[in-house]
Amino acid sequence: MKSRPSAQVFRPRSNALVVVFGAFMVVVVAGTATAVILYANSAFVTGVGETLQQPVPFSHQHHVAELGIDCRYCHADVDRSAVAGLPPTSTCMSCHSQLWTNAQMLEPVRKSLERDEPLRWNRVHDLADYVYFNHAAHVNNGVGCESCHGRVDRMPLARQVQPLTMSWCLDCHRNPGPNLRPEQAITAMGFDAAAVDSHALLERYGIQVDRLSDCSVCHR
Amino acid sequence: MSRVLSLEELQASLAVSGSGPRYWRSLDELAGREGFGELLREEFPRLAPLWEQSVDRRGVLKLMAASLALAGLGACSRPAEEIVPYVNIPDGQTPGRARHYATSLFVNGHAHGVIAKTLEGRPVKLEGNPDHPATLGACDSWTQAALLGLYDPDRSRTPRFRDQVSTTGALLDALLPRRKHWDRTGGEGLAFVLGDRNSPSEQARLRALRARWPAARWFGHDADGRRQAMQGADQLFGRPLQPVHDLSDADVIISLDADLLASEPGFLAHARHFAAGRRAGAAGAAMNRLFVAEAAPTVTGAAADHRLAVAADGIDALARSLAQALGLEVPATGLPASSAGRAAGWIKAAATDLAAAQRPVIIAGAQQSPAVHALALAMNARLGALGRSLRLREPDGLVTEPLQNLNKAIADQTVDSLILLDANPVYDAPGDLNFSETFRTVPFRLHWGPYVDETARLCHWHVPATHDLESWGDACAHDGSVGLIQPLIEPMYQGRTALQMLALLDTGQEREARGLLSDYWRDTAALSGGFDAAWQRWLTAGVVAEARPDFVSARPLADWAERLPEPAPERDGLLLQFRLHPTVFDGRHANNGWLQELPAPITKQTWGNAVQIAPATAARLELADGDVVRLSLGERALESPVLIVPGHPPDALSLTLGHGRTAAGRVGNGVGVNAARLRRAAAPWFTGAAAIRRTGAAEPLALTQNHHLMEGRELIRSADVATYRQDPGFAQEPPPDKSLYPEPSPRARSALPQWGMSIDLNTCIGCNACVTACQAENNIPVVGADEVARGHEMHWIRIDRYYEGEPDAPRMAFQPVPCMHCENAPCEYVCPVEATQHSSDGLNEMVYNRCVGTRYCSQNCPYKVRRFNWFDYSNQAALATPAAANNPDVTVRSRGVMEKCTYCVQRIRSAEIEADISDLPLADGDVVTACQQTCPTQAIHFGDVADPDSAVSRAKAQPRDYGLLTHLNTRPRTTYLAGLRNPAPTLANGDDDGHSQDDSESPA
Repeated sequence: MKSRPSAQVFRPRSNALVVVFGAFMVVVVAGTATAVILYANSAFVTGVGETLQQPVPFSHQHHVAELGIDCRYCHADVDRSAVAGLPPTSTCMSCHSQLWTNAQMLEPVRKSLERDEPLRWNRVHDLADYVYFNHAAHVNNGVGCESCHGRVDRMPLARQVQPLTMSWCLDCHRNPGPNLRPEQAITAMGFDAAAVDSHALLERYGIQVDRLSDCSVCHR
Repeated sequence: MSRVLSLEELQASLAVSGSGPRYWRSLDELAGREGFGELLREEFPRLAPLWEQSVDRRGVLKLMAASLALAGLGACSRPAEEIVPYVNIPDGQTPGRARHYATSLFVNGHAHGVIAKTLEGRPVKLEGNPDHPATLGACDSWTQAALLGLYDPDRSRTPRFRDQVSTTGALLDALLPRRKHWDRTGGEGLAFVLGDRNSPSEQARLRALRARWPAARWFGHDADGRRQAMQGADQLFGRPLQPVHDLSDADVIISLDADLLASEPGFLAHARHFAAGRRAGAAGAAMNRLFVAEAAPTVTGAAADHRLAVAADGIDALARSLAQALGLEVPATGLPASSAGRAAGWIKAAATDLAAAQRPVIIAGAQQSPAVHALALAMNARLGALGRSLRLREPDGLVTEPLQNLNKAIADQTVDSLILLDANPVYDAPGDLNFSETFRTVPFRLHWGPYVDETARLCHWHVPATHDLESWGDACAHDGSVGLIQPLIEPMYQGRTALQMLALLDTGQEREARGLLSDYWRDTAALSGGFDAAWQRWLTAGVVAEARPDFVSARPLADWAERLPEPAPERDGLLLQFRLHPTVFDGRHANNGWLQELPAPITKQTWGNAVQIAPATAARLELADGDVVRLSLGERALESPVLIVPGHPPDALSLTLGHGRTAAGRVGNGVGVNAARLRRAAAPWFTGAAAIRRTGAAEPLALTQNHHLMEGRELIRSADVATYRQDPGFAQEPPPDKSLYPEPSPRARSALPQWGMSIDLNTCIGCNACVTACQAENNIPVVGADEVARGHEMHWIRIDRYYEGEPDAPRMAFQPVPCMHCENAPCEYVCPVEATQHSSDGLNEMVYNRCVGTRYCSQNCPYKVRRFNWFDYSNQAALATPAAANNPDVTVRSRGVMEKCTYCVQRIRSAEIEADISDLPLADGDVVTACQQTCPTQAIHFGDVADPDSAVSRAKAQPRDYGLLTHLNTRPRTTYLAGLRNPAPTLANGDDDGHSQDDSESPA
């Protein structure tokens, strides 16, 4: 007797298909998540390594490494103010009224002084507006310029080297010891953090590590 | 159930209340009306009507698709930002660090000393200047809101001629022939209208102009009625003198319709001195006692130990009776019938106290008649207060004529040129003058003022005034002390300072503002040292120390009492009273969103005015809140909603001035009604025979009194001093049951310091200064009338106003409520994204960038202190605070984000960083919150609660300390010190009722 057509909607091999499909979905979800995370941390989003068009192609490499000018000669308020401060035109001209007085490259600087119009630099390190980063608080507590800004003495044009993401900030706020250095080495480039006793530095700067991850330390 | 509340209904609900005082916030609450419960069950009832303009499914999909597309586009690139350094950095300037300058501001015509905080040349916050002798470091809402006024985009920007942009050069050309003409005729046909600015250098310039054009006429625009105090002194002493009251160490203070704690000249000093007397009482010394008779409820009446509601025309009879009780021979009249019983008890208690007082003071309200001022001054003289708590000084300004004379002069065509300096009579001249019509007939009209206002629009010429924060000038305070005004920013528009304007009229030339001022002081001040050193000293301190006020002595004339005017005959019907608005004043602040949205201290009304009416009168006339009535006085009439105000005299109606502007700007135009239309020049402050008629229409009022309700145990606690002496811990309640879980959950906090706040209800007068200070410090947006009516106001600190007792004569109390920063914060447990967290130093933190707007935290907050950005208030077109006025240390919140009081965490963190950088420990008092800093009565303490010696710990150690809803075991960090009252022994239990004094006669 001929069997009647099966009342089953799904054939037996559907079971296998479901498993395959499920596995596929897991891969898709995990892949999407990975992609999103990778994307969010990619240089494209964080801006790491990007150089921006500036009114004057200022070379940190030349001024820091070759001339040996201290960071604070130009960024004079870094240990007193929340912002490090870009130098006023008059600071540039304190040297360049004597040196390279006719260089074409410095034309915008001379014009700025002459017309009393500020130079307009493009911001390289741009934090979100709800983050209240304070330079003075870091510089006075043993965090060197290099820790966030990298080897500016090797940068012909300033660029961002750290991702400046919240997780990157928190890595240090949860465990600041390895990033600390003595006062005299704050502006030093190529400092070897492993050479100093981080516990002693934590002690000396009076850093209460358990408070550093409070939200309002950065967000107000 | 009808909307109208009957008296029986109210009394029935009072009768059922149990033992102890019962506090209520509104009549609806007292009567247990239906709508009231809605606000308790749901934080934001009637949210559904937000969706009234129903959006269909297609519409939603379209919007969502468009939003998604736009969001995608917007995220394509990071916004580029620039850094713009100085070319030459100013001396002493450090980018990112605030600088502070001492200066002065005119607040309703009197100087207030302020310290202004600037960032890179941009003023961002004003605080009181502790070195200023007249304001003592206290601050008020008007001063705080002056910052917003500076950045107001509606300010006048250029000189105008016939409503077209013009130049001062063109004005000078136009003035040249006229000035020559005035020089020839001595100023024939010229008239000036002066606002109420009181500045020594400007007065000198005005005197010079008067000497130059002696035939010119001078009219004073008396916005707050201060002229009447001098007329009163004239009646008593035979010459006009300005009374200066001093409440320091005063033990008995009598106010005859004077809002001395919140709007009378010198109110900041009064509030501070009054609070000092209250504080002394709480500490065990004798407490001062405040008797207030007032025509409409004010914060002064709320602070009174004995408050008496009397219609404004009954104050005269009351003053006469009190004077008689003090032994002065004055022709008396009977007390007003409506309040005779209560008034007799009030007078008796006040007279008894005054007779025994060491340092009594009696103050008559600026809006009262000269006779009342004369009586008050005479009583002060009688009690020996002259030269002690009351001093007299010569009037500052020119002697001017009242505005109605100008009206007549124009009608008689004796005035052909009119110069108005900072006055707006077209808007606020009494309606019966028909001023705008007569004004138009003057052939030459010139206006100097900060706005192209109603008057400027009808003038040929208009010159913009600079804001005080961009001016050079000087300003005289109510007590005669003088402060310098120095600019914190270059004038943003083409404004001229008052001195520049006057010099321009005088010399026909433009001059630089600073030179004009320093020349005046170089010539005036007799200095032993050099001028330059003194000038630097004055600018540093903000005060001209050498310009001490000269007080004069005077004796009452022998026959002064006989020259008192005949008492007014008994009046039939309702008295219509005009009051200055507690936030927009006479209308000059109408375009200030912070002040428009600031709930009036007693009525809690925002964005407009209403006819204030007593509950009994409302019941009689069958009126409910919001019913529109037609008020008519002779031929003139206006329509306005009514607002039932417990404690208002039953035989009077009150209407505040300052609303109904037509040319104030985008914020103030069309808000409320202009009460000046009903005023009479002969009786500007109160007038009888007002007819009131229901129109049948109703208008919603933007009241906040029932918003953010807490339902709980005795939220407000107070006692008489006698009770307090016997039982100092009267406000205590048993601690909540011990929890099985470790306390405090979620974790122990050991970091130091631990922040906490204490608010003293004994000294809080409910003046609202903290609310505006918080708004300025924390970038709190303005939401507008409709949003306030929905309960969406954003103030981080609110001031709850409670009534207690009979609706017709209730006692009032205030309670400021910021975030409690609970140690066991209910909001923290329910946030699904951990956007609200506890910091290790005890702050309940709000992380805006994490918040997704579920509003669970707000639902779970028993104190209702969280505020939600329902819309993008910070960027909405008309009401947005200009970006320049924002505090850069605080995030500007966007739509869909919850926010609340942070204890000014930006100030805490920057003080900690400062201390860290300078290697000094954080001292008590290094962190001052915005509300604490501004408080005129110093009712707020803030600091480290883990340090037993800190001011806040000492406050919390007092037996009056209690927390709100502590039975919920929230462990609030903000606690309160219970209020105290000091009723006279002759009036039992502080009850002002006439019927209760019979059985509590004083043994004496």
